[in-house]
Amino acid sequence: MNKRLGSLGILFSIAFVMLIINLTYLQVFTARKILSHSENKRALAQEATIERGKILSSDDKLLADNIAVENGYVRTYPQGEITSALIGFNSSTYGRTGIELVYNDYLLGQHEISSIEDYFKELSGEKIPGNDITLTLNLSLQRESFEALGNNKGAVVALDPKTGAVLAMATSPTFDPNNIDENWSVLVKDSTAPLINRGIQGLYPPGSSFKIITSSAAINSGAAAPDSVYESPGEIKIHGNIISNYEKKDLGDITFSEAFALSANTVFAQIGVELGAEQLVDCAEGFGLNHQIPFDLSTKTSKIPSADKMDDVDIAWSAIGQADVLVTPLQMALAGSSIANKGIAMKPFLVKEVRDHRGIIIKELEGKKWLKPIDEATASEIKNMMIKVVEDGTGKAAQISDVSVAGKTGTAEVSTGEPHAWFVGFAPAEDPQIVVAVLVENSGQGGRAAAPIAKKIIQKALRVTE
Amino acid sequence: MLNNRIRESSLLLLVFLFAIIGAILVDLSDVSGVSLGAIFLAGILSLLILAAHLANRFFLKEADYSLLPCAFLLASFGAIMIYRLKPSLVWFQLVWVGIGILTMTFTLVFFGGKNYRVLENYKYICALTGVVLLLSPIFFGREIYGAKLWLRVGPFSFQPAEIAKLLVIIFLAAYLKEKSELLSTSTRKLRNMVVPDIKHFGPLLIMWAISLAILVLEKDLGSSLLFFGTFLVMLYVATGRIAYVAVGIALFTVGGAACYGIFPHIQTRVDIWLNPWLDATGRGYQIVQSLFAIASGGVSGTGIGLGYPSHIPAVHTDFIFSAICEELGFLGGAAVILTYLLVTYRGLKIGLQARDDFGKLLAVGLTSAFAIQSWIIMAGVTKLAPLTGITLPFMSYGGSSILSNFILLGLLLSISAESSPKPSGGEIYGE
Repeated sequence: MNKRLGSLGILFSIAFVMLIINLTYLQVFTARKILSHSENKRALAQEATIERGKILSSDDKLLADNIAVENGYVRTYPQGEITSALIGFNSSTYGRTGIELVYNDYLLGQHEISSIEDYFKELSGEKIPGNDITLTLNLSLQRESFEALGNNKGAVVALDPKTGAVLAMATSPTFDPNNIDENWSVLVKDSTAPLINRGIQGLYPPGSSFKIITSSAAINSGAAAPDSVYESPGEIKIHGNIISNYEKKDLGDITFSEAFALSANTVFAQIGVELGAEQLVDCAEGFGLNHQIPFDLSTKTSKIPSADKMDDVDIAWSAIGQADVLVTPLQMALAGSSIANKGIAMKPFLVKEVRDHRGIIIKELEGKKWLKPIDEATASEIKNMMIKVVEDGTGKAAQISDVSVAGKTGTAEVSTGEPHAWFVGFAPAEDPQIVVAVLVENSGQGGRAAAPIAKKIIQKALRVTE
Repeated sequence: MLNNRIRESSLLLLVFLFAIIGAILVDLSDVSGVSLGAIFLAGILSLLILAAHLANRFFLKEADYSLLPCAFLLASFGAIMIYRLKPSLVWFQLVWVGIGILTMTFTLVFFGGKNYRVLENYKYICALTGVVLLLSPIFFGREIYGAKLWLRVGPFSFQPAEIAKLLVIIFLAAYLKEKSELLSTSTRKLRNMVVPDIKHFGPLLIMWAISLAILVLEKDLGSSLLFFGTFLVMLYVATGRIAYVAVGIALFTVGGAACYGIFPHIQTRVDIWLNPWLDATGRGYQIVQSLFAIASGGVSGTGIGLGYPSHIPAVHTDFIFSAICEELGFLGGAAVILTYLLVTYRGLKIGLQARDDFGKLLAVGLTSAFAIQSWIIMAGVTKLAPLTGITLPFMSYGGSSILSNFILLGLLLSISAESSPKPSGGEIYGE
């Protein structure tokens, strides 16, 4: 019997050692993976006790702050819905979005321990406040953009073409992040999609604003020059498919530059077919279509079908920004940037710098080149054509006295009601400080609905940056 | 060589220090600082430790010296964690520990030395009472956490399985001692294997039926496994026949598989065990919360009072081990596991040294039940085995569990007092 007791002892020892091995597995080897599960409330509870970093605009206004409450902090957003699409929210129930999500580690201060002193404070249980984040966003320009959109559905993206810094990015309708928990169930069901940032997540047909890209392809390849003359009938037939000018107006023989200023569809359809799908698609991809835009927030990728899937009809429609071409307002702002910045698109960025709780900069961002779709000479010629659009073409509503504004309107036909209105422009044309893309859903002509909004924003921006 | 009294008291002194430091640390985790609560807790625990030590040494000088310190390490640890998790409940727990010590003392007085052998004479009363208690919740029980384990008498809830466990073990030890020869020798050859006669499988079938009844009618997989496992271990030790164990495991597997097919609640249990993450907010909630707690502890833990174990439902009873793993980390968890292993080792050693077969079998049965029960719940909350509602001996909050484990401890101490080698001098000169 004693021998059996011995084997029983071994059996129990093995069983208990298995418990210890399993515990090692859980607490040492897979702990990180288990804790990252979305249902784990510990991280949020822990984080609620840390003073989260502030978020500031480039003009030093508070965009996200904390109110101290009993055992923790409550996040507040002083600018409410004006900046909500960018800042996002930080909810214990619905998680995080926007900068609150992407820069969470920095805001919590968990990214790195920046001094020996902090390390000892942390060991002694003292909570180190998180890092503050300063955005490139200018709050007064952001407010102007938001107010200019008014009750329209749409988006504004304003960049500094020389650096890629986001100066303003407004979307409408949007939400108030201060009471996201109470309003969540209404917001997610709202058919106007207030939780979507239309500037980077909305895909729209670009309409005639796409002619910036078609023209770039034509001039960069030498297929056309600004003074090349084209016939512009009221409508043309391509394989039985009718493409017409605005109000089917016969414009007679006009130069390429005039065709651009008057947004003559029949000319651009011809040019598209002459160029061929490959050149058009290559150029569009050069501007960033079909590429994920590197950005602080998650963006939708703008699309153009691949060349081998297009026939002449598709090419003609694509050349005027219809058919299957879909873009985000950010993409169009980047296209405008390339023209404004000598053919170079800078990488867009929203976060300027991160400072720790003592005010020491721990991360600083600056402009980086992203794409170079066209050479400087082509950019300069397209710029001149864009100046003409505002001087005496479809974009007159964007004129500002004493400032030379360059732009292109777009009126994108959609199956759901009135066309979407576009305006892509920059100013001052000789030394561009701001490029802006405006999209207004279902509001008619770009020259009437979008250009005046762009004008207000450009005016504000030039006053602010002076 | 140091005598047992000094060894036990010095080990208990360490437990006493552990209890004081633990209670104070719980209070220090909060900004309000050390309260009267911690001082009372530490004071009462040390008085209880002293009382148990004196009782053990006064009535049984020769009893094992390490069981009591181990048990009190676990009980103090449990009380400190309950104080940290549900402060108002710790005083009830201490009352139960007090009652437990009293009952243990009675056990020592009545059954100490050779006296435990009188239990042999009452084996059928034990069997009858045990089975009645075990199955009573089927008829009078209340369902809590999806299992029918509780009897309600006036204001008290009571888990009869905890007491029934002891009675059934006493019966089995007596019965198997009587029948072990018969069960192990009456064999026949089947091909090349020596197998017991068919008619001797009777007891096995009866225990199997009872275990399945607990599983099906009380929905209590934990107790079912505990009873059947303990029985198989005792049967093996008594007869030395692996065939019984093999047949037993096969029977239980078949029964369990059939239940899995028939009863949705058992299916749920197993499915949750296999992948709790699929329904982390629903049926898998408890185990998932337990895994979060354990994982967040890491190697050294968050520190007592500094984690978030309260996210786990029933954390102060069945899931107390997860709370320890969170706040004291792998080191704390492993220390608890090793303490249970140590008790198991000492229990088996007592069985080894017992001078009669009844004593041996009783010690083995009690020790195995203790080991199996603590293993089942610790494996359950760490997802090593399916989760079953069963208490962690000496640590979980609950009267029935504390009481039955102190009786179990008293019985093991009683057997150890008789089995320990007599002081060598007397016997040599007595010749």
